[in-house]
Amino acid sequence: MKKFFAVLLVLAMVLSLAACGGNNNAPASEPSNTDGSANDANTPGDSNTGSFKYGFASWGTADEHGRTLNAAVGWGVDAAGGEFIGDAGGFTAEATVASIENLISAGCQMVSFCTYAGEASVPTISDMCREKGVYWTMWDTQIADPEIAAYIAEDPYYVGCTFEDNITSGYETMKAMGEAGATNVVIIRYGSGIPTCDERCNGGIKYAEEAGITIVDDMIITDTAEYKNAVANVLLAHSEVDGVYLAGAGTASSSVAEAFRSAGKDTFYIGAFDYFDGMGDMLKSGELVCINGGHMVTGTFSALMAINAWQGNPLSKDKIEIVIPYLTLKSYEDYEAYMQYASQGAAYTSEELQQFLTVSNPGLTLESFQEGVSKWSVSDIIARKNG
Amino acid sequence: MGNAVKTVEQQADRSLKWKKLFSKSVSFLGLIVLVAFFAIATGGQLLNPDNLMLIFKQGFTLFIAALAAVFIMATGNLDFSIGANIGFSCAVCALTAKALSPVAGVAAAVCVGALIGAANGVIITKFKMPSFITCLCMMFILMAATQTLCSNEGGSISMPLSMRKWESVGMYIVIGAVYFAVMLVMFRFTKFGKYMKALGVSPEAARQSGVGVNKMIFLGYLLSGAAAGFAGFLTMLRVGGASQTTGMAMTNDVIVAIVFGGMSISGGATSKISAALLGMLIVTTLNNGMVLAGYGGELQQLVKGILFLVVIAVSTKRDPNVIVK
Amino acid sequence: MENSPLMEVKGISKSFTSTKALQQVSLAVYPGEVHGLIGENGSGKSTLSAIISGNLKADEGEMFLFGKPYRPADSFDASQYGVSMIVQEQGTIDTVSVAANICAGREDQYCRMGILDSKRLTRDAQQLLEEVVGTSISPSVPAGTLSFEDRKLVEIARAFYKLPELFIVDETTTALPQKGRNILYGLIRKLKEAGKAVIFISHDIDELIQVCNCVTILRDGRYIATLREEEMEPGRMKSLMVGREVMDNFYRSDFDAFPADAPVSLEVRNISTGILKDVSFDLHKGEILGLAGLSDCGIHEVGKAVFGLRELEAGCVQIPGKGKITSPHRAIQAGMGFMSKDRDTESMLITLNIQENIVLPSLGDLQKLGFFITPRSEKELAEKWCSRLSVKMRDLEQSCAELSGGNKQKIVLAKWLGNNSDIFVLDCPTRGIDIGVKETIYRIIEDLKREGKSIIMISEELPEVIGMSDRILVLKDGEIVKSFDRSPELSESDVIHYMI
Repeated sequence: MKKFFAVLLVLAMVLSLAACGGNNNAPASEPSNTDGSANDANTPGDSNTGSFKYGFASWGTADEHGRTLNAAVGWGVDAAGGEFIGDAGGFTAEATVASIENLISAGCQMVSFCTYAGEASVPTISDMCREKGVYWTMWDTQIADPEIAAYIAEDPYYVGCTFEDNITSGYETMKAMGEAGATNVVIIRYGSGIPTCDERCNGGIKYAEEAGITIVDDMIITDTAEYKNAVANVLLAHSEVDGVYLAGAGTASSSVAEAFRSAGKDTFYIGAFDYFDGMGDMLKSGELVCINGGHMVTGTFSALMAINAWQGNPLSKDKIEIVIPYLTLKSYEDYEAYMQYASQGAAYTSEELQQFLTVSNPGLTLESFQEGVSKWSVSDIIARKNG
Repeated sequence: MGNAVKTVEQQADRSLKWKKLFSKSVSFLGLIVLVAFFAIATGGQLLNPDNLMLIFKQGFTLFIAALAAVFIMATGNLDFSIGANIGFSCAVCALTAKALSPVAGVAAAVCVGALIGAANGVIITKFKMPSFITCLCMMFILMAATQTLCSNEGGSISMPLSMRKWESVGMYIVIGAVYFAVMLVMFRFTKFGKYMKALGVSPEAARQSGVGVNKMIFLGYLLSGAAAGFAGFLTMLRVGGASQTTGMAMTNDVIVAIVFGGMSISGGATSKISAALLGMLIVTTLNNGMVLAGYGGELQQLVKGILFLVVIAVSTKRDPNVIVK
Repeated sequence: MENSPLMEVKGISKSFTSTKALQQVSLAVYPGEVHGLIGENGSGKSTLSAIISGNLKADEGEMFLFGKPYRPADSFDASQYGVSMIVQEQGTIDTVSVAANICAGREDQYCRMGILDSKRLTRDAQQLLEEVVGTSISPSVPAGTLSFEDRKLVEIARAFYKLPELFIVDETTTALPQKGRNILYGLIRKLKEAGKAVIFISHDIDELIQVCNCVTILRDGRYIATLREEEMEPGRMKSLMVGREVMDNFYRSDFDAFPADAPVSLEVRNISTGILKDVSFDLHKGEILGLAGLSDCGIHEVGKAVFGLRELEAGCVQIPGKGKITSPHRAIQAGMGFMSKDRDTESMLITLNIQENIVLPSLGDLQKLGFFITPRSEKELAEKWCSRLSVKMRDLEQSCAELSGGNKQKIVLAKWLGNNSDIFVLDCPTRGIDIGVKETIYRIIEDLKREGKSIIMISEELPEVIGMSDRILVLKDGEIVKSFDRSPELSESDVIHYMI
């Protein structure tokens, strides 16, 4: 008998503890609109008003990128007067599908996800949303498979996608490295067959070919902890290497720098993607030449795009593709500006974001939307905040 | 003195009966509590028929894998390659379905899964390698193979669009019911199931009662592998294709589910087929409920971790150190 | 004997949940006394010794050592007071060296500034081993590499690290072969002469009579009586233990000659494996063949080899008309059953219930449609044999771990009877079992013989082997050295003569 009560009490304790933590979003007191199936069957073309639920599927908020990403979506959703519901499923395709299912079941009128686990589940999700009348977008994604692209083009609830121009950014990053003095560069990819990663590298390789920079080695390393050893090994065989191009996992920059210093090289150039703590110091010392990040707004604008559609003001009859620029930091001043204006609080005010909604800005067009999105660079942000 | 002893015995018997009943139904009670809690926390959303169907669909792969894993876990052995097996079979299924035909895809998935299971079985029984290491190595090999297959196709392999219609409520119910019935009968009413349970208590004692130890362990891994193959096909159907990370979480999920369902990882006397079903319901309801109730990612992990510890602590028998001669 | 007791316990009670292990037991042990303690399983004798040695705390009652209150915190504390104990089961830590085992708990004495002086530890251990047990066991090897007997000797050395005031021997002798026993008897004598005291617990009535000055009998957790030397007599002791009159000979009462033309049921031809060298014999229908010998002479190996549990280096085991026995599976199919001497770990699946244990080898026969086994058929089989053998249980679903030793043996027998076995290989069938239940088992074995079954009985209890067998084979160093036929004149010393 004792055991029974013990288990019961512990269960109750744990779950109530958890409930206290998570009940910010708990619709425990929410009436209606929580019915999973009746998302008031949004018919495409309907115009809806009032509060809404926006579902966002990602891998989680434990890391910096995930945290800022989810927060950025929140800026947009709040500005439009809705409720943000995030589902951190994990990295697998099943988790993404399950997340979307759960979000729809939780009553979201719009959902968004990324294809970091592969494109194969996109048609499945399309079918799901179509069945339930839920608008959907993809963030940080461009579909490569033509069959799938054709499939979702038929789906009236598919609004569009946002993605970074990885090729251009890759190009610019390698350019920054070259202009700083890099001549022999090693490329490190964080995975194989990942479109985002490959595009960034293709851009960088293009510049290297044009400018005559030698790519000494092109490696794939999935474990960030291994970067240091890998670079050290390359330096042993090729002492002329003076630059490392990180297609992702910017956080490995500091260990890569250590590898150079241990090999006795004090002059080297690192170009990277994905912000990390400590990038400010490395920019100051000049070891880090160029870092791309801040693409969390990919979540913001994929939300605003969907909200426009739900509110009856689709930005276009066709499927939308919005290019998101990276916030490229090339100096310590850039870094300070980023920290001040974009890192902690919202980089945009509510009013600024409402300019991306037709209900607040009747003159909004697809072109002006994209133009507004493209004003995402350090100088743009400083101008906006001070002007 | 005789009478006094009698009533003490009777009281002891009665409290023993309650204790036994309780320990048999802890998991079931746990599920009820869980459902009740989340039903309240989500304002009834949890019990929405669509949501209930969702829980069932999301847990289906786990259901398939866990039911088969019960057999090998009953012997006290774990199969760490289940997840990787599912991922690889999923990829093979998608490729074969595109190249040959959907039905060929299904057959390929099950056969590949079974072969992997058989390989595990042979290495463990014939070459006497520890099961832990064997399955772990198999997992790494399969993960690499899956990644290679997927990167060749640009990150993920989609299934032929014609198979999209295969997935339906009816399919789930029929497959689920038939599969469960078969596993139940096999475990409770055939030599195979009973032998596995015996092996979990003591392989030597089982051997002295005529159980072919090696043969049974081999069959256990074969079954687990074949089920993983089938689960790979089902995953492909649900997700729309295979990706590099498909199935990765499944190995842990199977073990966690079976433990939550009331079975110990050392197998033996606590083995029961209901552990897989109950465990799957508990884990999936927990995941689904936490999202519906708005828990953040880290909170979800925390809750799962704590519950797992609690379950293990309560269910592990501790030596009472009694010397009564 | 002096007037004041060395150790006195008053009104000791101890319960385990609903089981009352001890009720108001009082007892006094005097200096220079070897005080025997005897009782059936469940009498509380081990509980009492555990309380005195500090391993358990009593619920009620007091203890006095040399007249002063004695309340040990744990067994190490008790050994500081001079009370130490050795038990029947393993008490050494296998992975650690002998020396470390002996000095366990006292490592501080060997530490200088936190560093262990292992040389001194080893030297002390060596000295102790030589003085106390007089053997040449190496102190630096891991205890797990030693034989069971040697490990026991290590335990004894540990108990004598500090010469004990009160030394408790809890059923240790039953597991020790003669050499070890003699060492122990020698130590007991030394303690007696030095005016210390010994509490000696054993199942073996004859041994108690030989070794002790007096004996206390417990029954069902209560103190029954203490018999002085003159009063110590087997029949009297047995009756007090059991609470009723016990028949004098409870082995077989007949001395019928075994028919010379009885058909052969098992042929063992020149088997060699492990310690066994070229062993051959025939087993006949309706015969009880006893195997006697010292514990490591190979008698247990014969049992395992005959049942197909060992790979034979040479020779074969076969059943006329059914072929060779090469695995336990084949043996069972040919109608054999095996009861290992390690009952709990090898003969039964201890955490499973009674029914599951009994039906296990017979599952193949219970199958319907080639695979399905109905719960009802299992229940019927189990019920049939449980009632036939009068198993004391709550119900068929009771876990076997809860049964007494005697009932566990009955379950093992039920298992083989349920499988229609014709040949039974029983290794130490009555070890650790109460007298009352022993009797029952002997009757069952006799019934089997009368039904024409064949039985090989391996046992280290000579009276049992002599009392029950139609024929006895004596093994020494892995070879059969002598064969005896059943006869009322056959005595233990006759057999022992060939064993050593």
